[in-house]
Amino acid sequence: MRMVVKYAKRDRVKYISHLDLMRTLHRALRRAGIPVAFSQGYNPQPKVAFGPPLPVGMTSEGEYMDIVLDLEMNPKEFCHRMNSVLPQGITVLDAVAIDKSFPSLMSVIERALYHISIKTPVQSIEEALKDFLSQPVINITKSGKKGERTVNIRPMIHRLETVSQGKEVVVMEAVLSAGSKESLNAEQMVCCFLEFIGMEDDSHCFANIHRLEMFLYKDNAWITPLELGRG
Amino acid sequence: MDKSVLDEILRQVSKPVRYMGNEYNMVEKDPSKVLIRFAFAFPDVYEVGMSHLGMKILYHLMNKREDTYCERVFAPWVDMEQKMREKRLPLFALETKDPIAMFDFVGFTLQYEMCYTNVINMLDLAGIPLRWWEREEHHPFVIAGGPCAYNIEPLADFFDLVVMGDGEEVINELLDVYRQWKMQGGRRQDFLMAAAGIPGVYVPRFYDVEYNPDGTVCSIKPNREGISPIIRKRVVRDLDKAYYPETMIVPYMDIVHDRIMLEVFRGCTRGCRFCQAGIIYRPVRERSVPRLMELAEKLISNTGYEELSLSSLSTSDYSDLEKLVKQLMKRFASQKVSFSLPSLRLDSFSRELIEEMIKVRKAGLTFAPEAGTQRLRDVINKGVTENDLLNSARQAFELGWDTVKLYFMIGLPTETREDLKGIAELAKKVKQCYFDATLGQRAHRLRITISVASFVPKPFTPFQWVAQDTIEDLNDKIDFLKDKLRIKSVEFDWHDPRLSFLEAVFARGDRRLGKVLLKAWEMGCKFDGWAELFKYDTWLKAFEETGIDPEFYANRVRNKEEVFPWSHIDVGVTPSFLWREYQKALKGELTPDCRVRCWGCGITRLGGLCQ
Repeated sequence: MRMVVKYAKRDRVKYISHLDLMRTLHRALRRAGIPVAFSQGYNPQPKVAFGPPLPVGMTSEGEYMDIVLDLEMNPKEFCHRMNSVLPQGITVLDAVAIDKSFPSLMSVIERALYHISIKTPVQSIEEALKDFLSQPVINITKSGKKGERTVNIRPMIHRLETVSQGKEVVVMEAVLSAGSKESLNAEQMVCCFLEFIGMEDDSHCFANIHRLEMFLYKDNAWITPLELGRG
Repeated sequence: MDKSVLDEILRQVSKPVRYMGNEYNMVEKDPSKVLIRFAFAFPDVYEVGMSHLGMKILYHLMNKREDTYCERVFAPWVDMEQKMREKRLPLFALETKDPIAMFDFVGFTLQYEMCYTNVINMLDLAGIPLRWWEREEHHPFVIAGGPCAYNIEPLADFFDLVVMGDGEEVINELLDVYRQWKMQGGRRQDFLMAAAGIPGVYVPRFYDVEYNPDGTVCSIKPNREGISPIIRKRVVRDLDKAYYPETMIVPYMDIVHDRIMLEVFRGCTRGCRFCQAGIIYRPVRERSVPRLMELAEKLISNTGYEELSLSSLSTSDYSDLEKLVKQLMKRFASQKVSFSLPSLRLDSFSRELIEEMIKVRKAGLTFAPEAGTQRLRDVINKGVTENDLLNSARQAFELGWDTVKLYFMIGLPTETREDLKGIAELAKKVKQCYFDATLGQRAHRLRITISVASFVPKPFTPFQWVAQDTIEDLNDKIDFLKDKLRIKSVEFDWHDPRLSFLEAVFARGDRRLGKVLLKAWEMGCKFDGWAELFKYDTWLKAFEETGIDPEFYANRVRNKEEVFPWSHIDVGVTPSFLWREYQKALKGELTPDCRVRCWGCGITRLGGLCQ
């Protein structure tokens, strides 16, 4: 059977990389005695596929993976067994059985929702956000395998607004592109914004970037992978 | 500690997960509810330290005690160190993030000589006075164990006490003595006196060293009443009954040995004459198959690891290896757990065994012929023939391997150009085996790596009397090999002889080297084992400024009567046995495996029973 699983990666494990997280979950699956299916060949790997990776340093309540099992298993039982063997900071939130023909998470997920907290003395942050978004083009330099290239990130910012403003910390909500088609790292966007308002890319500014959920588009609506699984 | 400062720093350093802790199976305790806080310190980065079996054993053993909380601390990498110094963040333990300066003990395990400057650097980062005489009543006791502890003399200034032998045999006694002392409220010195009464515990300050006019050691004697003139190492007699952890911390990051380590036996009966481990870990003590199966069961289910390594100095010598491997495969292959043998010997490489092991996953293959000719292999008592090697290689190739690694040493006693040529000859023959085995079909995939290290004479070995080759000689030999090893599909890599030279200095060093270590550290030396940070010229300056000649330690032949800086340490094997072995080496005479018959090395005096 196949299952889509939603999990959280919290503060205590925010510095582990995506590769580390994969390894950690593989080992947790073995500890929990989950009958995961394995690939064939000289180096059999568990059939676990992940949604868009979370960059190191961020926390999340909305991560996804997709698991193939050799045997049937109740998703609630799965969650329970996993949560009794996971390190603190990683929690399985929910799981649903999905059809074998379900496309990969990476190919269907298109957007992610974030809460971004920054420390800033700037008071008129809402105005600044408006000005920032009114730019038709926001170019950043991305370095990849083929060297550096310029990317316009404006079309990848679908929403960006403040949700609360304290004395020192501003919390912004953002919906950004995520997935294999196009993807924007929330941290890069924040750096770009901070630069726009004339603040150094300074670690003092950063409080936290927190991913809340991921979405895919189906039948004219944005839904979560779990909702898709539930039909 | 201010956690927000740490958080800010961790955003800016490479591999922050090294400093994060919170791994699965990490022990969590309320520090206010324990009497003893112990920082287990490994003087290298996290991914090296976390690969070390001794730490896993002692960590879980100490944490079994209700009165003790053992935490871990590793050497921060240079970027982290810089940030910590900038923000005045003292060295902290991973579990609680509390500064280790407030602990009762900071215990270092010393695995190799080139970590010594890291020990000093870590003490400094912790804010603990470096030398024992600078420490006050409230400071932790700085202690050491591990293979380098057998000649602790170069570090004698920095340690309050040192444990010789199997740590799990001594540590509880030490903590019991400490507990009593702490509850009674004595002085620092009182605890050390009480601890010195525990067999296997060495307190360097209670011994005075005198030197001869020629610079050699004249005597090492206790300087007060009630201190034993000889410190004898401690030995776990029965490994089945000894403590072994049933769980291990599962790191997030990819560490050097990222698998379960199941220690099948301790010690080695082979008697390779260059090998210190083969002497200091005597006698051989095996775990039984039922006990190993029980441990494997628990460790696999408690860690979820996909690989288990059968660890020892020479795993293919385990009496019941075939039975063990078959049982392991039968029980765990369906869970896709694979097994590896880290130290395969050429002469006991059984095809059936290997076929069994690769059913799940195929690991890399390494052989250690150590020397290029039979004559030299006999000198070092390697007891392996060319046929052994070639047969094993052919079988491996038939089973589908196409990369093998061969380890050699250069600068071994009596070595000539013929022996070096032999290394290249062996590489060619192994290559030919591949063509024979595969009929040349997969020729483009073949990769033979010839890895060469310079021989370092070590204390407590039959070669403890010999001179190391000079750096110039070693470099000449490497150049010679470079030329001879220009062979397609063969790669040649070698260790820096300058590093081996310093290893030789500190391996057989005495107390006078403490000031060199301190000076080198002051001048910026640390992580010396890491090529990118190794500052050889700085080391030479440190020797010069302290007026110490490193060649006296590395490149000098010792005579039979010389008193060594480690002469007051009894590892069980006697100096007369080592001398006999040295003389036999020079004649190229073999000493067969001591499972065949007893050669009287002296270890039985410790109540050891060799099989």
